[in-house]
Amino acid sequence: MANFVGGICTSHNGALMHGWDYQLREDPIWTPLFESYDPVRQWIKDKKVDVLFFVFNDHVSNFFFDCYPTFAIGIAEQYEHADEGSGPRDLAIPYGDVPFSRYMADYLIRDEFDLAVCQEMKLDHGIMGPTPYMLDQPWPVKFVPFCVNVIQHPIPSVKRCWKLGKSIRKAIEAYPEDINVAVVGTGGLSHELQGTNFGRIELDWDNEFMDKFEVEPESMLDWDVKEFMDRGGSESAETVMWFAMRGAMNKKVRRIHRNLYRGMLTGMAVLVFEDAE
Amino acid sequence: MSDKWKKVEDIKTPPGPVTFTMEHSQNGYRMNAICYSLKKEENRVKFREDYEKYMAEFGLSEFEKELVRSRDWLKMIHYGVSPYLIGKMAQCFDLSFMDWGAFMRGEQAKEFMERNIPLLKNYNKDSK
Repeated sequence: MANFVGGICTSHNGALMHGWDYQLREDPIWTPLFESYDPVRQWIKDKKVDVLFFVFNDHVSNFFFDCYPTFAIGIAEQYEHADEGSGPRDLAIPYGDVPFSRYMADYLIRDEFDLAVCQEMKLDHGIMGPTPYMLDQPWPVKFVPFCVNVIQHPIPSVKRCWKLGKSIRKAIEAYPEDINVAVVGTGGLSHELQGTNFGRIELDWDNEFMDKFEVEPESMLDWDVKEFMDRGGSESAETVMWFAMRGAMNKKVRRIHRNLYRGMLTGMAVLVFEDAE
Repeated sequence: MSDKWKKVEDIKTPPGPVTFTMEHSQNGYRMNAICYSLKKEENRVKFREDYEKYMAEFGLSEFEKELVRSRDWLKMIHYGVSPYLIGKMAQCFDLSFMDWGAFMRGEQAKEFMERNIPLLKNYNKDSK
């Protein structure tokens, strides 16, 4: 049976693309950001992860508003890199695990998550922003992209994403093949890109949020998305995707890693949890 | 398009954040579509060469053309252009994300960055 090894949450943003594409690790401003992913890379190796199940969002790179799906899963053999303005990025090809992806789509739809199923999906920084920081290339894992609309409101609630996480966990543990799977929630934390407060960052809230997220995530399940936007800026609506990761985990978790880096425009966080014994 | 606005100047820009809703998405649909077309390099080349021609070929309304010409990114956001698509157009005007973002604050990217870099350095030296 498949083995659920734990969860990762990470910000995704343009800065991560920039830092990687210009190889800025040795730049003192960027060094702490790169280093904050080293423990994640090691953990993925130690756990012999075969598949990363990404709960992420597209930034109108693949989907357009002619038809913007609330939930969409990729079941492809491989994925292309999106062109976010400077051409497709020079990164290794992300391969899918087709039987597992189809199985996950099947399980989740039967479990009342009505998904759009995608045979092609161009992946943007929603996945490929943080990925090169936490994985070597060519990628040592297969990818399953699960896309959530968090940019055209209304968007799925915290509770809906939490329940999605629960369903993802059940599905993984019922999969008959012997593979190691981790769930990744991307996005957040504080940032605001629309309007006169462009660049707003709330580091105190980001830290408070991560405390609550680890110890008492259920205290936030009834929060309206607006609550997150008020506290952490309009684009921290993305935080709902973290709850898919957290919902997949036990109530009690063991923190393997946590870091918050102040970016120019974003409270950039990364954390790794395993279920507590 | 909504007839709420006759002229670009009619788009109000109250301070604070904007939540991109279905209404924004419908208002801004064609503006978003032209920006979305710029995810292709061949279209970026055409836009850079002659954006008036590109807008005409795309069939933008006079109002929408004026909005592009204004390069008022804050008005675009309030009108319903997605922040993830604005950048694709701004880039074709040789403006970075910081440029059009700082514009919404009413400042230059340089000012914004000079204020933030020390905050960033200071916070991150103690992080971990």
